[in-house]
Amino acid sequence: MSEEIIKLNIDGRDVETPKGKSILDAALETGIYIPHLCHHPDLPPIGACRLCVVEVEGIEGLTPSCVTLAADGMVVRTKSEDIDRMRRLALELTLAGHPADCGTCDKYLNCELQSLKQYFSCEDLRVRSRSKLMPLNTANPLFVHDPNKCVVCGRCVRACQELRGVGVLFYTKKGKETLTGTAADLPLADAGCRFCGACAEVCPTGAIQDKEELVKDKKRKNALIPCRYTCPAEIDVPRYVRLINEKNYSAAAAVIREKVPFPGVLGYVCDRPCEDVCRRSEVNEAVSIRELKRFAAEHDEQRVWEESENKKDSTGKKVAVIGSGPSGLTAAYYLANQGHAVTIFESLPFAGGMMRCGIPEYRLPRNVLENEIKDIVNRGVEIKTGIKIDSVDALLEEDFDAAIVAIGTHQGQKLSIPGADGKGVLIGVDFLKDINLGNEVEIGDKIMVLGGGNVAFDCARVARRLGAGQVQLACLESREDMPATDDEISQGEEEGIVVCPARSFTRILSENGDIAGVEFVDVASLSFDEDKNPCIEVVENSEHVLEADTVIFAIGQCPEIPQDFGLDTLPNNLIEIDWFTFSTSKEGVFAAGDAVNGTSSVIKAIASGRKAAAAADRYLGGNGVIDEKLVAAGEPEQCLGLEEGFAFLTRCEESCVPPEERINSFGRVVRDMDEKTATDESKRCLQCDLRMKITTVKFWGNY
Amino acid sequence: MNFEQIRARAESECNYLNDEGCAVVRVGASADHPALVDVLNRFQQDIDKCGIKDKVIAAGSSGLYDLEPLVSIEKPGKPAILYRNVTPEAASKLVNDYLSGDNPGSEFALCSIGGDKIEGIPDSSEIPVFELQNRIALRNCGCINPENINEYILRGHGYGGLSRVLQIDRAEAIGELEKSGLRGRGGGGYPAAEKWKICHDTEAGEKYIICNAVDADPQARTARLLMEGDPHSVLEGVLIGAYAVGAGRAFICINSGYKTAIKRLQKALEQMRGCGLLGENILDSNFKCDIEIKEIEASLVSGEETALIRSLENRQAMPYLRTAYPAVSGLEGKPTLINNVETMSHVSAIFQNSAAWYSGIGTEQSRGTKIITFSGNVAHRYTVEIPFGTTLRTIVADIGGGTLDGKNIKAVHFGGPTGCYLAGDSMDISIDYETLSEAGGIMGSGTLEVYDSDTCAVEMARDVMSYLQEQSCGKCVFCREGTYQMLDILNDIAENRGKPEDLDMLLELAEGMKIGSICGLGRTAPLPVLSSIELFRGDYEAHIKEKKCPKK
Repeated sequence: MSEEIIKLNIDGRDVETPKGKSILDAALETGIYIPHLCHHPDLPPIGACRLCVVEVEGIEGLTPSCVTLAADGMVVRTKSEDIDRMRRLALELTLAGHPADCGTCDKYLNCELQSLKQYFSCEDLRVRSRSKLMPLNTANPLFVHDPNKCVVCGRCVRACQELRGVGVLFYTKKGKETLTGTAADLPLADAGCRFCGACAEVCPTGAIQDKEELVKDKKRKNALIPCRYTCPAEIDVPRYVRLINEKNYSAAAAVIREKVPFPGVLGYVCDRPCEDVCRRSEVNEAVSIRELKRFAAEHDEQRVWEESENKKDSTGKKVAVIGSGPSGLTAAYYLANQGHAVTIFESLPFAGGMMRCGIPEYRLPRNVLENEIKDIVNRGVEIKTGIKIDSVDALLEEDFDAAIVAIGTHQGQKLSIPGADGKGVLIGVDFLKDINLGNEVEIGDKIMVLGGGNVAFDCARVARRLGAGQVQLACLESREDMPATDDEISQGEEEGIVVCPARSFTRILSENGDIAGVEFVDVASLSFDEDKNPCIEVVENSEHVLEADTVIFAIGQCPEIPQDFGLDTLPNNLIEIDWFTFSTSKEGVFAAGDAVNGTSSVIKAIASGRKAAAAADRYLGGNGVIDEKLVAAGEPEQCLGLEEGFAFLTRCEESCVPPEERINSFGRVVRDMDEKTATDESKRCLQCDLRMKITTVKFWGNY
Repeated sequence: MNFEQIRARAESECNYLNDEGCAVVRVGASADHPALVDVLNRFQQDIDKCGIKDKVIAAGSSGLYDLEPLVSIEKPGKPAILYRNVTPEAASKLVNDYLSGDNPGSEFALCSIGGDKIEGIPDSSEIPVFELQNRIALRNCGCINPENINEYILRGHGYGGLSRVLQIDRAEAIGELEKSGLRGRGGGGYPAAEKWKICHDTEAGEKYIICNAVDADPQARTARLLMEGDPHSVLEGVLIGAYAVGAGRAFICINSGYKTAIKRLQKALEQMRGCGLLGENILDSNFKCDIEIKEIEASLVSGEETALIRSLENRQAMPYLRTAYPAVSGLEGKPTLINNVETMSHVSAIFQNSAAWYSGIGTEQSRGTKIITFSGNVAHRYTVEIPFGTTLRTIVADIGGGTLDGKNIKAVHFGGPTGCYLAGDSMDISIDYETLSEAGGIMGSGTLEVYDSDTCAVEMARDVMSYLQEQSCGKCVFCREGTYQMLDILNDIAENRGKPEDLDMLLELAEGMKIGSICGLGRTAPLPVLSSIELFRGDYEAHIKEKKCPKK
């Protein structure tokens, strides 16, 4: 049914508008500005501020245009002396209780009231101005309420009640002043607030604002949807969490796949930077985003992502990817999608890079990785394992049009301390690689792992599983600053790993050719200089020895770049690239992943692979747009409804197999989340992204 | 049950009313009157002691609070006699002298009602408060047991109006209401039949009816009086309205502080259900309707129609700007007829009697009667019902007894807090919608507050503005800030800090508030200030120019 169009005349201009619009909306949409304050395009009008009064022929007096429907043949005047007088009085009354110190307000230049003041050139008030002298309320999470700046436009109340259906904000009275707030002034959490931020979004003044520390110097989207925009791959977290809540797991997995080809892997091993910044953690605890991601990936039975075939027609171009780790596989996947013929060369017998030969199986089950690699192969990527590439030039000369170097950082290091070259001193990555490739490794019963990162913990935990009775882990960093993720540390400790932080290793002691122990000194402070070299201050006379028969160095890795690659490298042996084009010093050769970034996380490697793929695609004549639309966006429900106790819903931590059981095998440590837990956990999401759906208000200068 | 069956049952259950050997003692007082229980008990005890079978009934208040407990004793074959301020001791004396004996004389006797004149006791026609009232809405208040539906049915043809209306079609019923000339008693005086017609004519699957029993103006006691004293006169009106507009659900929005009224209302609804007056097939017709009670936390805005709807929707009770009449789109967007208790009691009276009878009372434009409650500096605390057209003088001087201390009247604040002041020298003004409107005032809640000649107009206005500022819901700028600014200015003037331009600002604010506020409260909030400046500008000027209060 086509909508009925009516014609009216505003200020001598004939205006056409669909039936059912207010005079104000009809005028604004034609570019005729009528001042307004309590009106917001997404909220029902209430006619409270009276700045939008107009004259309508045939209606006596002044009419608030926001609540009056435009009618066919209507003749409207938006300017006259009477109108101006009424509007000015309304504005003066609005300003009477509002502080005049615009210059020092955080909302300066973003304030609708300030803009109206300028529109009316309203400087001195004839009505009596006053200071409310009310305390700033900073006690709530996320938002600051400054009642002094509230002009009672009621937008926050309508946003909370009508738009969100939450209804915890009301008009309230304090002494002679009217304000908005919760019933009985309850803290937002106690009132049942969903912390959606709609109130702050629609507030025209500085009365309700985001806490400064959460938004200052940040881009709006990064500050308001930090999970999504902190994620290196910008996975649309709120969207897939919402889909999980709607029990649409396949669509949730598809949303993850719009940015990464490894939802399952990430569900196990992501270092979840999203959770560190989750706004829910300001309320109580972050949402268990990684757990939800794993749940979605493992319940993707319909595999709806496959139905949206995004693969472009063949371009006839060929790309070689060197290395089949997360960055290489990701780059290959997207390049194949863009229509290029992609071949991955992997020197090891298995594809997966560190995901296969670094991360132990108990952290990442093999079949999860294998299935996701299979999906990539199914997109037309050819993987050649057991082939070591020595020269990129040779590849390009052969018949590849471009190459991506994604060789990771597989070269482990030892510290050059006395005894480091002795028998029984192992290198962490090599140790892990051997184990993961099924080779026999001999270790003793008393293991000392040197290093504080995830690789160190992997080594320690593997050693436990190999039967070592005593596993200790020592590192330079203090307990708080250890680079390993919290779950690695806690799970390691549960498994009996003894962590000895803040120690510098001075030498490895041996007796009769066998290792006897490691000598340490205590670290008083640790810092890094400009070149990221450690500056260690030790505690004098703190030398001590810890017993060990096997020492594993896990103090960092660097890329193993074949000499003939001929790529420029940085002093730390990482491949140098142009950060805008991801190209190396050689034309047509791009690089990605740990080999560029240094040892880092799977998600960072994936993100890096995406960028390199986009860059290579552009180089090959494509548009570089690799994002996929795998599931229709849909309009999320704006109405959240009241959920008592919402703020107090506790986080569901991952559930693990008991430590005494898990050290007996390489079986996976985490257990599956059940559906109810997943639903409950997904419900905890604040749905910060809904705020972006609220229409941005245009200021008068934009008409 | 049909109406005849209900009536027959009522007659058999209330046999005391026709019992030749049984006198009826009705103790009338507000439910919270401190002496009520003792007086009731004393009557009963002493009657039992004497071995007589006279019936003692707890009636509601008649509105004549100063005279309570106001006891009516009706002996078979004799006119009823009213006794005022009856104490337990007086009750004993009355049982002894009049019920057991035959001596009606008592220092407590106020008057007799109808019948032969009794020696030493004036007839009610000699007493202004009875003679000058015409009790239609309050017809049963103080006269019946509000907890017994049978008394309502038997006195004055209760539910006969409903029975009759169910036999005519809806349009005809609305036509009859139109003929009566009834105007809504909610304050604005909108013609009731017109509202009904709009609601009737709006097509909808479901319609609602809301009866406003909030007494948003705390000085008004109309809802309390009716709900405590005679809930059925209102409930019958509600059912008649529901039938006429086609509503199947009715809500009584009652002040949550009125505990006794709520209890009696609940009881009334139970008894109605027992008589087949609620639910399906009311009075054996195919009309069905249910009535629910909604308790409302009272404030000045809570009784405003749109705020009432919000309350019923379990939202904050705040007015909103109507884009359509509630009769077209009200509760949950459905056509909703909203009338207040007083209107509903008139409705039942009109249908029990006739439109012609009703339209013969009052003035040309304001038909019928109006409930008025006195407050302030007035001799009697009463709620009375007078025909429209009665002069202010008659109401205040003759019924109210003038000022407490006999001083001259400076002003009467009429229509509730947002009403205007009427000067003491214009007491001949007729109380009806048109005249009040011409005087710049409103009928409002029908309360009147009397000020004597020692009162300063600035303080008068300041005090009422202080109340209005507090009661403003704060939603719209003109009411919220207008009352705030006005109060500030009036405080300054009252404390001799005022400037001449303050008066101009008051007038400018008043004009803004009148047209710029969302609801009736805000639009009428400046009226007391405007009228006090107009009538008593001298008081303002004394404060501003001479820096002193003219009354001190």
